[in-house]
Amino acid sequence: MKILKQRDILVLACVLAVAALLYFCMPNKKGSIAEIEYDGNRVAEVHFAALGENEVKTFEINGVTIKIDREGAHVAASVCKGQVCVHTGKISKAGQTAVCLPQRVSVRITGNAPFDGITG
Amino acid sequence: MNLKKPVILILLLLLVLPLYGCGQNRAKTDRFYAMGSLVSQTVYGADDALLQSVESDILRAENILSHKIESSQISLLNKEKTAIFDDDIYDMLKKAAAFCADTGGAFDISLYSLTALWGFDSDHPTVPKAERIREALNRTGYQNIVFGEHNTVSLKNNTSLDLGALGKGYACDIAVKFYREAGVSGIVNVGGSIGVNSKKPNGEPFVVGIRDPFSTDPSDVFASIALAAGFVSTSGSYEKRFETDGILYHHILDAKTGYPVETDLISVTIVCDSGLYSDMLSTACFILGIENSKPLLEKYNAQAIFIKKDKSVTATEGLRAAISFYKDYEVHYI
Repeated sequence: MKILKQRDILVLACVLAVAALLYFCMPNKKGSIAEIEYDGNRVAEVHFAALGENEVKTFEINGVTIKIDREGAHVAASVCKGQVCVHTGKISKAGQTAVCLPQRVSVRITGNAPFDGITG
Repeated sequence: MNLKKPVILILLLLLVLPLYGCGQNRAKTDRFYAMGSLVSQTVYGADDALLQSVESDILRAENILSHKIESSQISLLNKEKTAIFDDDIYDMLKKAAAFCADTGGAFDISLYSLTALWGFDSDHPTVPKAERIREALNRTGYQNIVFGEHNTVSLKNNTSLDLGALGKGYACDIAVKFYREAGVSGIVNVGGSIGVNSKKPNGEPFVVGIRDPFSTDPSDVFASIALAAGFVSTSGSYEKRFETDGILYHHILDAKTGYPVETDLISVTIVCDSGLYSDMLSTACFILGIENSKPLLEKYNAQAIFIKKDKSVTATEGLRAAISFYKDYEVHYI
């Protein structure tokens, strides 16, 4: 006895295909990622979930030191004089960015940010 | 009746429909540095060429307008006191000078002598000596900008221009013009000045957070505005400031005294249909205060949110339906 008829297999294949297409068309809803950019180009990304409990990843880019652990990311040091990037502190929420304008380095938390942009 | 054909047709439709929406909904993002800021744009259903065009036109505008770029036309104008601009920039400069007149000189694009003296954009801003401020004031005044034939701009009385209060907004205008012409929805953020063209593909408006001026966290917002089209800019005394002898000096200067504007406001956010005007209005309204800003807001059909140092918020009635508040600040509408 056949468990699945030909038509059932066709329906199943279509449903799976539609689900796959929807999955790839939907915005990324995975957990937060820290994305490091230099001059607007992505140079590194770290998935918070992939980090160990006490693990700290350190990146040195154009005179800027960025440290990332499971709790968030921050600019630990920079050769820039203003130190605005260092004073931004630790960022952990989707949409947050710490930018070093003079050195053109930024670290950004990706994910479903509550706002499309922030003015101020 | 044979049901096979209709069933297969429906299944095929189900398969194809998501493909149709897929390209339209795909968001492309781009980040680069211009106008002394990080610029980010998110555009739906656009190709890479559009984002590239926006980037190159904004960078081109920066290379004309920035006094920080030695080879820019504004630097040339400041040095030689005369320069020729293309139609777009000439037109923009005329609008900016007319706007200065509308504010009675409270907003002035000719304050370079003063801003250079204070050095808010430098690594070491300092309080200049009173005598030097008085001397610098003699070299300011939008009335000294002369618009001649063939797109020639000249500066009298040794005046120099600083377009820092409008560059970001103008960059937003450039981006949104591209989005409009391509018929795509998108948002551009030039260091906190924002431009939006049409709703997102899912029918939702873009949501723009307004930074809480009392928080040190730049992503901490006190309110948000739902925007289907338009521009938002904010000016405040909480950024670009330094402390000397226990006194805080912020970067928005009073064109009459040469010192930072004394006001009970901490931040002003403007929403209107032009990036250039939203940027200029936010600075002008911060200088003028709530009451004196009303005629200006009316003239430029703009909406505003004023935040005072006592944490009270005054918003214009036109924003009531679009604004959401997240902090327990006292709010009233005018």
